[in-house]
Amino acid sequence: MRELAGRLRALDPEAGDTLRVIEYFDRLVDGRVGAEGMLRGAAVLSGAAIGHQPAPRAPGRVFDGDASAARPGLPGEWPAVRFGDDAVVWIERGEAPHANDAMVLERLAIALSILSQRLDTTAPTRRAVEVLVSADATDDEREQATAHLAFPAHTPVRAVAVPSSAHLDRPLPHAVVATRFGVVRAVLQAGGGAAPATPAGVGIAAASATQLRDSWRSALVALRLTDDAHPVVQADDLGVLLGIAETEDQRPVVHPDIAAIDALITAGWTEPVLRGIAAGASLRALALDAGIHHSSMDARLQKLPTVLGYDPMTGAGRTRLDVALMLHRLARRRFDGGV
Amino acid sequence: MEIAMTSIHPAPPFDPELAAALGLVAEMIPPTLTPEMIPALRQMPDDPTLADQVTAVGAVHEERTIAGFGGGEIVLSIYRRPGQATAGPGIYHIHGGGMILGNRFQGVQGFLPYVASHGAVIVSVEYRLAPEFPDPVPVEDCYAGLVWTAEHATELGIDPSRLIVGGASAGGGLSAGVTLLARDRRGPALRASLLIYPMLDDRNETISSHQIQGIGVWDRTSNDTGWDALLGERRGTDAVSVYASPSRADDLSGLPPTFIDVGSAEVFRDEDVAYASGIWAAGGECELHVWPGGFHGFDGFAPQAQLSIAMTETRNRWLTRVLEG
Repeated sequence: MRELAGRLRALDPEAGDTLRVIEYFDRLVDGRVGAEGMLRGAAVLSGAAIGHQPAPRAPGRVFDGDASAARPGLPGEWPAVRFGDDAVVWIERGEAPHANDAMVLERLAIALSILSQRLDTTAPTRRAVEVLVSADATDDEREQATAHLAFPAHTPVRAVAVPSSAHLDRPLPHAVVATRFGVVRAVLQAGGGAAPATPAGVGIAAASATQLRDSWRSALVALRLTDDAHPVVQADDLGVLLGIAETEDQRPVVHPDIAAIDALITAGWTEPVLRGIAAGASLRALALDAGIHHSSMDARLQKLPTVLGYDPMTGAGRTRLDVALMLHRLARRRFDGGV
Repeated sequence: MEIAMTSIHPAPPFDPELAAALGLVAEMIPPTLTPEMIPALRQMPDDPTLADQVTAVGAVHEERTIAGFGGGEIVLSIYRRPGQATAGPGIYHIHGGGMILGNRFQGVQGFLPYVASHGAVIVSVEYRLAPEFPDPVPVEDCYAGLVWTAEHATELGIDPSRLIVGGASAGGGLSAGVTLLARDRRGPALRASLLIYPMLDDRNETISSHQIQGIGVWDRTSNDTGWDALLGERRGTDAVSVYASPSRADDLSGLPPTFIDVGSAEVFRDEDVAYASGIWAAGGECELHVWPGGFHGFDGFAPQAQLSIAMTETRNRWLTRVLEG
């Protein structure tokens, strides 16, 4: 009642109040307050509506700083903080940001992450997947993780790499993992069957779950080779190329052949045209692909050996270009979108 | 962790959301109010959005000056639809503030939506405050306003069979006192009595009154401050009437349906629970809600908290039932 206690007000728009904000959310976490209480509290503190979307396809909710019901909403262009697998909180402030806005969003995100970890019943499964695809887990950890996931005996298991935003069409153990190529979702699939999402890179079969790390490595190669024409790539189909890809993945700096592809793309060449050259396409087909006259294409082709350091029109040159194009995609493809 | 050796009864913990909210303003809201703080506390500004809230529900604000206790003038604020055609329920509101603070503009906000939804007429009384006007002035001013409201029901657009009295804190205590006065003097018939964490017992000797000291909102010492101002030397003696301190009433029969809500972590918890028990013991009708971890006035202080939302919804459901029935 206002006569005795007044009413909780928004923080000073001008003065930063970091400690107070941290303490407020720490108390909510310690007190095991739910997401709605945290979001409403953040709205009161900031004096602006606060939104939350727990996952890209989940409905977003926006809370005002009073007791009114949440309304649907999406982050749009509002100042936002992303956290966890792919959750986001945002502040709907239509004017210049207040001094504590960033801090309120950050602490809210931390508090919600702690809450979701606490409530996440899939956490043990997620951790097991993380262990099995990681390069540095111990054998003990791998065996425990395998026991937890309880795959059928005598059935090969594959790791499948999909973008983190991809929606799985069936429930399979999965985890979002950070790689050198961005944030990717690792899915473990026993037996055969179609890929659980597209695009997908399907790893080689592991004789047992404890050997899944090699399957995951190959799945990451396969995912980076997907394109619109080949939304699902099987590592098994790469044959000898898989070994080359994995060896090149270990290289600390890119191979000069890959740098040469970069230079060509900068100079206006496109990947489809270069692939056409590697595939031995005719001058006319190449010119049609590039949308230029065949005499212009011919002039361009004449310059290629200088840039590449080899002649891609010879048999050996075509193979070298083909492999270089594959390794170029492996090195340059990234998966940062969709979070 | 510190263990309070001076208290036999540790206080129930505050609800975590409410505790976090209170922590934000700890240095601005003293739990303990003493008499010398009264002048400064009376300077608290009114809700600047009240006029907008009145307009938003399609109400107009009128004022009437009437005779209060002993002929002294008091003001009533009336909120209703302009040109009310059919009589609606009447809500006679008594503000809170420990008998020493507040005014008729504080606390009416929660009832305003009933103007729009039920054609309610709200009358809020500016009773005179202690210590300048000790007992019986506050409760008799409130009763005078209630009698005036009932007598002018037709003019105001109030259905006399749906007139309720209600308020929070001291306003809840005064509502209980006015309800007892209406019963004993055969005054206005009341549809119901709404006692929001009411201040009912001048003796201040319950367990909860000992548990809440130096913490929360309106602690034991604050309660002493309010009751001392109202009753002076008579406080704690047999000279205190049941209308000033309704907990002293031996007879709680013949009361209208009563609603009481209170926090588990406030001074008034035990006297409010006992009052509900007394009504039941007398064969009466009472709905009681004790909200776990709530300090005094938490729903107004942090309306966004889950507990506040639940409390307000529960209270409004009851109010809607009695206003419609």
